[in-house]
Amino acid sequence: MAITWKILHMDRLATSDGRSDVVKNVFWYCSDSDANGNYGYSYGNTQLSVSGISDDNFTLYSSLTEADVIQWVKDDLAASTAEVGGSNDLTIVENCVTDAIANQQYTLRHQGVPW
Amino acid sequence: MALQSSGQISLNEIHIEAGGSSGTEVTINDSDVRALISASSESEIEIADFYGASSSWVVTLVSGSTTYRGILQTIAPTTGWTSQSYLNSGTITDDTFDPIASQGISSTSTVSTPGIIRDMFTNNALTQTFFRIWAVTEPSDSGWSTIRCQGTGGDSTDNTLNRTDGNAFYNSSQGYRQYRWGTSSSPVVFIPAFSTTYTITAV
Repeated sequence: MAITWKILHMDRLATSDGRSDVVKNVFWYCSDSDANGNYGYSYGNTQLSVSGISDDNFTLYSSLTEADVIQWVKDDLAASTAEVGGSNDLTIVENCVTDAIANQQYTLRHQGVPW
Repeated sequence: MALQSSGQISLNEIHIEAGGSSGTEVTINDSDVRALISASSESEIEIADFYGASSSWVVTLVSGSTTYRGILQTIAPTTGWTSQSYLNSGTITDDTFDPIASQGISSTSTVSTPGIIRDMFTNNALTQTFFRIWAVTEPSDSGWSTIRCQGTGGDSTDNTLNRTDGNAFYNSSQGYRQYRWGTSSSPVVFIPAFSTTYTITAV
């Protein structure tokens, strides 16, 4: 299958640089599974830069889509590289998911609440 | 702040040091209280055992000599965390990470220490600070809220990072949690120099 990214929730600033509802902290989850029920996952949070955003690059909170925010998260992770010559965090996170499946580390999980 | 090293200590003071609220119910056998002194659930303990106990994690770190201002793990630890090996000559006095000791580690675990420092460094190229913790169970954020880097001798370095300001993720395949602060546009130079001795405190 393919790795699925989900935005669990977002913290937003009530006001910032004269704008309202500016997304600051994004909590995300990504996962995948195979036909045999093996599962891999990772989760985390990403702090977004909220200063110096031009009008052209600002999206109103009410107009945001999950795809927009997932792309912000991926861009941030891709810009991070802990080790010289190593993978960026986006690759590490996605490899973590696929490796867990390949290693049969976890059985299938579902997310959500019953209410 | 550590408990006093002599004299009378109340159970309430121990509870507060363990992260509890003053005046709330506590016993000396509570897991968070015992975790202060890394006592197993079977061992006998007494109040005097808590002299000098601290929920803070304090270590001396000598930063690496090149590329990474801190320490970087190169070899994955085996059971018992016995194979720590750090790149670029960095050293650390204690790579066990105590603040996560109260996270319900099974008493039957073969690993005596629930968490160890995998990496802690500021990347000289990207000006981002990384802090990665291996743990025998999936670690939560509990147990610490800030990490501080203080210079020694005449070095006036005093940098603090708030956990809640960082980016984090859990690597479920390799069993570590990574925290990262700073971006290229917003650098956070936690460990500012190479081959330098710092006191690192997490509390």
